[in-house]
Amino acid sequence: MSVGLDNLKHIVVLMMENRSFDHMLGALKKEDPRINGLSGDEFNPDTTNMPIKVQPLAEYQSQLDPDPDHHFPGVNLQLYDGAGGAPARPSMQGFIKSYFQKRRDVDHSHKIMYYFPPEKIPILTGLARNYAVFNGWFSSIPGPTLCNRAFAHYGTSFGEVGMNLFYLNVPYLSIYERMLKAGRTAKLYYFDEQSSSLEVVNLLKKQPRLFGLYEDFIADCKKNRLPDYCLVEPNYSDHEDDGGGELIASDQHPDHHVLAGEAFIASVYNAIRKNPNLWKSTLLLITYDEHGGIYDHVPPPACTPDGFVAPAEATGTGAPFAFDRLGVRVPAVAVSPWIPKSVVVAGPEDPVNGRVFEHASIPATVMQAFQIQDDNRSPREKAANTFLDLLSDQMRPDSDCPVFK
Amino acid sequence: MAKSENIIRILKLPSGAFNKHRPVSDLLWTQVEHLAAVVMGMIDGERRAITTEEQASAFIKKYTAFLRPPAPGKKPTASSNGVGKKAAPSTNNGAMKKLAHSSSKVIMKTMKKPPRSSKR
Repeated sequence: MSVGLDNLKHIVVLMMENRSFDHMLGALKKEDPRINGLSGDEFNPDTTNMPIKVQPLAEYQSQLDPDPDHHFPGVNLQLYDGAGGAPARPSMQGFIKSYFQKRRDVDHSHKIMYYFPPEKIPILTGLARNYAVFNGWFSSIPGPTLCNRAFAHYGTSFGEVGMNLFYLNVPYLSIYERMLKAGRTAKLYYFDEQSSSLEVVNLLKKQPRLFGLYEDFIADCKKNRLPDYCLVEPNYSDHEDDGGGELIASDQHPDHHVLAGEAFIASVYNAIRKNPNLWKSTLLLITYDEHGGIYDHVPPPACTPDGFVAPAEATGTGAPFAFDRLGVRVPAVAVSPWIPKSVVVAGPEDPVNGRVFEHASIPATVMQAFQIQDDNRSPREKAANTFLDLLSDQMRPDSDCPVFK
Repeated sequence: MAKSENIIRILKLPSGAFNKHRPVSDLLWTQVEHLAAVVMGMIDGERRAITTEEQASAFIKKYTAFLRPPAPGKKPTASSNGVGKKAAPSTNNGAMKKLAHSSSKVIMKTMKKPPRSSKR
């Protein structure tokens, strides 16, 4: 066991919305070739069959409007370009064609290939440069938000490939319930009552003690009351608070302003970073639930089947889905002073040392960190890679770790 | 704290980024539907559990109060505001305004601005 792991008392996960790895972090390849980002030559054909290359022209807002398709059939088109489907290797050539269907505007459809230059999103890229960035963290399902978030909460979506969250009489407990059962503490912090949690149906009414507001997270960080494990949810909507103050959506879901999400990531990081007790004992993971229909060049790999099968009428593709392959790659960055500077966790591009992660890696890592024995977990969670090995024996000095101002 | 080169600046949001009139997304609409289903399920569960006049009158009181807005000038109380009409927690504004002065201040601007028209 490393000294860093020996010091670990808290795991915090911040799950943002709907951005692909290449869109947010792909540009970092130019400064660090170990990062499996973009060379600049990647392309997709548009609907006139013109090859359209990736470009560093992503804007904070108003560019991905209407919202790109990220439901199961739409993602299937993005992965396979209408030519067959699983078990063939995804070509990753159908993103422009999928986005064209939203507005039927050829020029506009090219914007799905745009990515951010690092200087436009200094918080996420700053964390990726300073801590550990994963080359192979994939969304759990080639589908939308809620089924993907379910993998972070339960290690499975119980056979759902869509937005249906009505899991009744499910065979596995959520990671929060498992933590409480083991005498540990766990919480979901949502931004405020207007934004609430996306995990509303199953846990909210049964387990109100599992929830807190974002202001509680800030207070708990200050007062050394942070639970052993927590997941933080950003603000999902532009709305006013009780005093008329403007609260801007910070989830980065298109068409929400990306800089609001940057500020939110910085706020979560700073809340942990500013408390020395917490800083030395916390592992923070920042990731995204799914790619939101935005281009990524890495084909999602196969994975351990989940024991559930979504029927053809649920997938909308004419074929059932056995949860035996992952969704599109998303950004993921692990943060701790026990992680050496500029770690790149190899992914599928390295057939020898590369490791694949997905959202079931979150409950798997939490279970491992707090040494909770429970065999009643999904096959996907049991097979998921964990990331505690990123914690080293050496704690970096304060002066070596960035602060956001 | 950190060396000066380790200070990363948080970029400021432009004015006009706030748009509460943006059309509702699939995600938010799903959240609304799920909450509605939870609340309806809770009401139905309470209804089915009623076996006595006392329980019936408690149910009737709770949902009559929910349907009846408080009289003008009268502050809602815990006994009169029923389900889903909780008065704003007194700590909320203070804590959020404090947050606004921290590094996350760009998340929230306390200056009220006229809403921008919807782009869609």
